[in-house]
Amino acid sequence: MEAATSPSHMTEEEHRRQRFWAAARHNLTAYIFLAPILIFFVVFMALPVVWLFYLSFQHDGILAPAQFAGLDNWRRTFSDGLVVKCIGNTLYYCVLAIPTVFVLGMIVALSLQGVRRGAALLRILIYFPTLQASLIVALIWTFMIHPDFGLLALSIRALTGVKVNFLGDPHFAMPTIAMIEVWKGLGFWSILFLSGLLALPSDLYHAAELDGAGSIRRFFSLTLPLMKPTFYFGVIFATIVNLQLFDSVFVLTDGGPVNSTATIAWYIYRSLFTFSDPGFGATLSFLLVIVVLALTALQTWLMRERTP
Amino acid sequence: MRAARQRLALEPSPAARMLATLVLAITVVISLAPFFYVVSTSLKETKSLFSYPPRWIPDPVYLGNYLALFEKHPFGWWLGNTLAISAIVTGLKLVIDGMAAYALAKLDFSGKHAIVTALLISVAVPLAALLIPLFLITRSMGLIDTRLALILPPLANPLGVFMIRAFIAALPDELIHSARMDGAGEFEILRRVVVPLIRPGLVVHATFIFATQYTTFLWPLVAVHDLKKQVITVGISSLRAIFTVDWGLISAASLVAAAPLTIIFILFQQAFFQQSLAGALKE
Amino acid sequence: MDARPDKTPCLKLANVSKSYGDATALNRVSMTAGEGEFVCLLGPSGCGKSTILRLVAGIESCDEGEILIEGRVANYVRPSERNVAMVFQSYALYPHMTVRDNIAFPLTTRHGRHFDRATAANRVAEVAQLVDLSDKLDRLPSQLSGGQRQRVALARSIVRHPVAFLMDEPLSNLDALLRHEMRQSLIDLHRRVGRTTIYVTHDQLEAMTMANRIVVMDHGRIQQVGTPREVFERPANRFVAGFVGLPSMNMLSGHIKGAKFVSLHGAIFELPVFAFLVQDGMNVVLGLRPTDIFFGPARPGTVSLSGSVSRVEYGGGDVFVDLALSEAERLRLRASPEKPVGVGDRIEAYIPLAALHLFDAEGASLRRPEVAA
Repeated sequence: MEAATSPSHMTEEEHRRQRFWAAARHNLTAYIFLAPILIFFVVFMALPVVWLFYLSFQHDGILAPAQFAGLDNWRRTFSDGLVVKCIGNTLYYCVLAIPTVFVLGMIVALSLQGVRRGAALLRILIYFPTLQASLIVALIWTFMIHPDFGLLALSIRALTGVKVNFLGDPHFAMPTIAMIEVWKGLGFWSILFLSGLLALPSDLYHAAELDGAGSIRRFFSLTLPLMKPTFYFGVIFATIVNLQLFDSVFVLTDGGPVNSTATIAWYIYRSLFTFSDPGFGATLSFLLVIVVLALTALQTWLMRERTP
Repeated sequence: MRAARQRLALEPSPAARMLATLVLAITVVISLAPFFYVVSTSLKETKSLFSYPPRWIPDPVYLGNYLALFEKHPFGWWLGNTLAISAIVTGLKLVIDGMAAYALAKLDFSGKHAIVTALLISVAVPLAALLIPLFLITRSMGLIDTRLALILPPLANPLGVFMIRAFIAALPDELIHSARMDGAGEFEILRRVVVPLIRPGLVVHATFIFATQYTTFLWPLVAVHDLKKQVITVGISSLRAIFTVDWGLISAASLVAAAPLTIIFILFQQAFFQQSLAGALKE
Repeated sequence: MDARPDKTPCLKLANVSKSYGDATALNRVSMTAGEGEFVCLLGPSGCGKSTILRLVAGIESCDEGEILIEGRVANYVRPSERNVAMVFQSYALYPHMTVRDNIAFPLTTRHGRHFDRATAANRVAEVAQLVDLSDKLDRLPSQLSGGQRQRVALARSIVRHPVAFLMDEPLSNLDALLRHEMRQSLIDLHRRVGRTTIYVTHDQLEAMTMANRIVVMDHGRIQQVGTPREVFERPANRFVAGFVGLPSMNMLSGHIKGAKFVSLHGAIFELPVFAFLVQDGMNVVLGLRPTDIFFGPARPGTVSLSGSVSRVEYGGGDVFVDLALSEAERLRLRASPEKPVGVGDRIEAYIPLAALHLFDAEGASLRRPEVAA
């Protein structure tokens, strides 16, 4: 038996009005909280992206007044030799650096796994290079590879008699930069892979051991497949970061020798200040944004599949 | 570490353990050797660098490089600017991101889904790609060559919002409901209930922002040309003249530049290491 | 019992409906709670009782209907401004604040009650004494036991002297002994503080011992509103009859023949037909509470039962016995531990006529309504 229904105390219209205002007040509060980030986001992130698109259709704009360029910039992007070289260099760098740092990182991570004492200190020491600014790292490495007083250069000269021109030789320049960046990144990736390894379920390992699998077998059949999510995330994250290589290139080689270390980001910077052709640089920038967004989407899709 | 090792509980063979120790030893040496060599270089006069073979222990010890940094160059300005700007950006970002994170985590409002998607997508957009329009926008606001130009644009990246949101979302809803029923306004709830409970997360976020700001190079390079207002990374890169490079000076500069961040790192190491975990698990 | 019709009830729901997506949580529910009343919302999980609480609190808003607090429509008033206090199942204490600061919190907030320092401190001390926590004021919640935490939650809700208290299964996280103690304390507290309280529980014993009035709910609808006695002795339908009272009521399906009830398998019961609105041949369900059935031969004014024991359950002070009337019909009744019975024994039992319940095929009670005293 339900309690007797009773008449309403407020008209339907009054209800509608108050409901509207209550919702409006609530939304207002929320948007006040969001206002700061949204303002900065719109002005310094959203607006620039839109502006990039607009810029890609124009010529000059810095020294000379801007002119409409139609699809000129877009066509040039894929045919201009320097741009193509930049893209190629950047990809070459990714291919050099990422697998290397992954392999070395895994080796260090595996070694760290069994550490009992002094783990905290080791972590600090190993992470130290990652922490520093790319620029500082690059400058410090100059003292390793400078032909006249670089420690590494001199050691190689002493041991083999070969005078290696790390940064002066077009064939060695990019690999050298890759080496420096791998050295810098090793700390981060080691720690990341270590946390991935520590999260692996140990029961599987016990079972495998009981089944007679040796440690090498366990590594290849268990560890590597189980680490796949971490690797997927890592590859995409590393790619996104490495596509933006700039600091070390700028300070060590300025794109040379013979443009062998010119990267996408380097070109964008130059297009603004040296070539004074922001429209063209904007086109490349826009492409970069698209690629990075695509990679992020790919990563999100991959991660969604993996996490239960 | 110990817990992890017990979890695996599969004893590595003595050979494996020796190998691991060797690998770690090599890694540590390789990671630190360049820095030590640079320490030694910074204490030598530049012209003595070119003597062969190189000596590890400088003789005599030369402090001129360090002195020159502050006397002949606006190094003090660079350091001061960088520390101040990094601190200001960190402080502002904590407030901005904290507010937005609370709204996304505990408030319901129309348009929420759209905003989350937009912010999420833009997390990965690289600064390098936005360089040109950012420069033009900053220029049109008359902010080129000001310290504001170095403070404002970094406030836009929404990565921190999601990091803090995860921490806030972990707080039970009932806690927030209870505070509301106790008469607290939303801002009051954020300030008195939420923030005290997510302090560790805020520390992680703060160290991340600080480190990123301290080491940033490209944007200051583009946005500021007056050396007195410049940050330390760009400042040091300007020490390389076209023809003769004062390597002793540069080595001293690099070390002094690396020092503050290193100190902060040692003080807040836990927070730094949580960053990489947070990044990986954030997705 | 009920608030006098001319006096504005403290809390009122008028035709309130609420759905979550496709699921209806409340279906045109109306109820009131008078000044100083202790109303229990009783029902199984998912019946909508917690939803009602949240709607009154303002944590959620209803799709239809009105929520009235002290006579004024409160649908669009923010929870912080409703001056209603809630004790959550998980207590929701602020982990980083001391007990004192937790209790004092409602006196320091934007929409809370504001007093000068001295009065506020007095209030806090007063309330702390009321719940017997005066010596724990400087502890943190993590340093308290479950029962103590709950008392902090209570104190915090009282300190503002709100219009009403809402309690969401506050005792369900406590062990049985503590629960019994706390029940007593809550009853005492209510007597002393005297404010309207709406108390949600799925435990019928709690509702029976604590409430002035019980609102029994199921599937988003109110099944019955009444005092504990009314709900127990005169359940409005099968659901209420089966839900209230432990062990639950025995139900036998059958039909009416003349002045008797004939079960599906032929058991026959005399009925006080004048007490029920029945017709010959009608399909009905007969209800008998285990606690109303006694061992022994029939006496005047009772109906006799007999059968063989199919199960004996020893429960400490009580022994419950399943009596098989026939192959498929069983009745549960209480036996005394002094006279043990075994499985297979033939038993004679009886139930007073007045203790019989009758429900129609849809479940509604067939009891002739009493003329109000």
